[in-house]
Amino acid sequence: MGKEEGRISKMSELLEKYQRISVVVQTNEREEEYLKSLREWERCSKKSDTLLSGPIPHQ
Amino acid sequence: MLFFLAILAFHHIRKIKRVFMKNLPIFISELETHSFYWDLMDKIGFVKNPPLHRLCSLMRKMEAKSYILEKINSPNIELRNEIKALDDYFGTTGESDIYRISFFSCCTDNNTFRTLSANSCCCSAILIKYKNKQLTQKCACGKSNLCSEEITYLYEAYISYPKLNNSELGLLNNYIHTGRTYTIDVLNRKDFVVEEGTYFCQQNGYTSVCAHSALKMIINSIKHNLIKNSNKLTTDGINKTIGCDHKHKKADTGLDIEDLDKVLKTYGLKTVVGNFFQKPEWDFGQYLYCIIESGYPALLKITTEDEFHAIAVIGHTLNSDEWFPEASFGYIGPEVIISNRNASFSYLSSSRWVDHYIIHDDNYGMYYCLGATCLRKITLPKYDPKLRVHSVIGICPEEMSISPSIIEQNGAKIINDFIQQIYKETTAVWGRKLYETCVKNNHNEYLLLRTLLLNRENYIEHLSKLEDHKKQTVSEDILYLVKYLPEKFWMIEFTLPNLYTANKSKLGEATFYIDQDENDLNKLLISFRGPESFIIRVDNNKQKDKPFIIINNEKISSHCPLYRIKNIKLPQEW
Repeated sequence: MGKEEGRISKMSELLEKYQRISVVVQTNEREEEYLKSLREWERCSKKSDTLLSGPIPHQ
Repeated sequence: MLFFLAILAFHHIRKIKRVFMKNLPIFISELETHSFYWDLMDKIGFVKNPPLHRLCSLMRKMEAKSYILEKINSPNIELRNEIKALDDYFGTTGESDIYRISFFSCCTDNNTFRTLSANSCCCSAILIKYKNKQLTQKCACGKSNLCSEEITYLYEAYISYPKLNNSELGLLNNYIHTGRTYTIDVLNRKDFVVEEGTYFCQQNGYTSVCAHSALKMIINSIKHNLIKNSNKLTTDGINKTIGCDHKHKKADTGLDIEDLDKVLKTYGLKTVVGNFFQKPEWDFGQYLYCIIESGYPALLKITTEDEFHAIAVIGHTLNSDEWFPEASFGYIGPEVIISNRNASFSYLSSSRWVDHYIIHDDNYGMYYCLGATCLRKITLPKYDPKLRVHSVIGICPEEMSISPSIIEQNGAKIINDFIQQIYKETTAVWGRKLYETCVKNNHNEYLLLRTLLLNRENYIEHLSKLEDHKKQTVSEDILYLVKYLPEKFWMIEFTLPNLYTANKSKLGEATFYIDQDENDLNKLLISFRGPESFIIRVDNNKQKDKPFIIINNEKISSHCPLYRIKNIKLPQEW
């Protein structure tokens, strides 16, 4: 049996041997809002960062 | 008369220095008997130089026994380019003296040098003295009448990790995950090695600024297996990449993130940025820690009196007896990053036990410890901008699109939900413990998470050696399945505080994609391993509504050792 065929066969054997499941992650509104703010923050972080040295811009 | 005597003394000292310079190289031993820094400065005519002072102090702490000082009369191309860049900047040709100083763990002299052990070198540094009349015209301080016609700086140094002489162990609970072995040329002997060390350099303020230094320090220290090419990063290399010619475009205006990414791209890396001026209430330490713990370095952009400064972060220290992480949760409830007391995000990050970050600051020197809380402020940046963190600039693989901050928060939610679903009916002792911790979330115990970027090969090796206190190991089926993990992924280890601090062990770990859509939590998880259970996503066209397979009754039922970065010597640990 070729290497690829052996690999597929082994995987098929494992898929048959073990149970398939679904684990669903559900977020409530507050959790979703928090994760969204985190993603937005990071997107803006890179865009807004400028010089690594030099004067601090007036806030 | 006094004036005449002063002139005579001045010329006498200059004559001694000229005689001294002609007699290089010199061998100085028995360093412990005198303040050799002041003696050295006097010999080479350098003005006050904090990084060089720090280097000498570090060598004393490391009990170095001798140093060799030599003049470099035939500089290599890198050093010639450095001098040429300064000439271009000032528009006239200057004069330069270049020295190498190398420290050794044993005494040496002209007779014994050739038989010195190749491993006896603890540090080797290049010092540059550059003189140009234009310096007084173009000095950055603006007060030309007070400036010297010359600048002196520590061009570069290769220094081994701080440890005592003749000791194999690093300092207590110090973790420097970045670093390499360097081959050093001293007096034309090219076989000296600085084993397990890092690279340090100082800006000259004209053709290089702090950002150049910080970038060089991290790239020239990062482990070879994390970058696509091992070419040394030089100031000239950075300036050529960003189009700086010192005439039309000057380097002293600084680098920005785009410039960093241009340089990093050639190494297969990029930046990921967290701006803490925008979110001062969030914890920069958690962001920084995940990068450092993964073996990648980071830059910390901080504010000083009135400007930004970049420093290189190469490691951290840990205090396993920290009181605050657990006590703060117990006394006042979860101290989450924002005022979100949602249970899913009420976890302890292992970054809370970090008490210092190990840094190289090109203004002050190498292997300094920056207190983890000293740059945290409760005031708003616009009212209190001085000496605080502006941003963390993590260095990571090019293909990574999900950053540490995102993955730990999302991962916390996913792990929490998985534990509650998988262990709801369990009879496994540690599974039940995990379930109760997640569901009840009382003020006595919280899940502790440790996040780091990992590659598949290292994870497989870790799993293959894993065993719990009952000597149970990971099953062959699991070891087979994890071969299908992506090449790189985020891993979040989960455990309980006392297992982490006292046993250095974990109850399991979950792996996550580095490049999937972070908006969909159901697509981020790749695998989950916990007490007596293992789950992995399978790429299979059948049963798409059930994307995972589960292995129950997995042999490992208890806690196991945490993942440790491969190929580093662990320090003394408490």
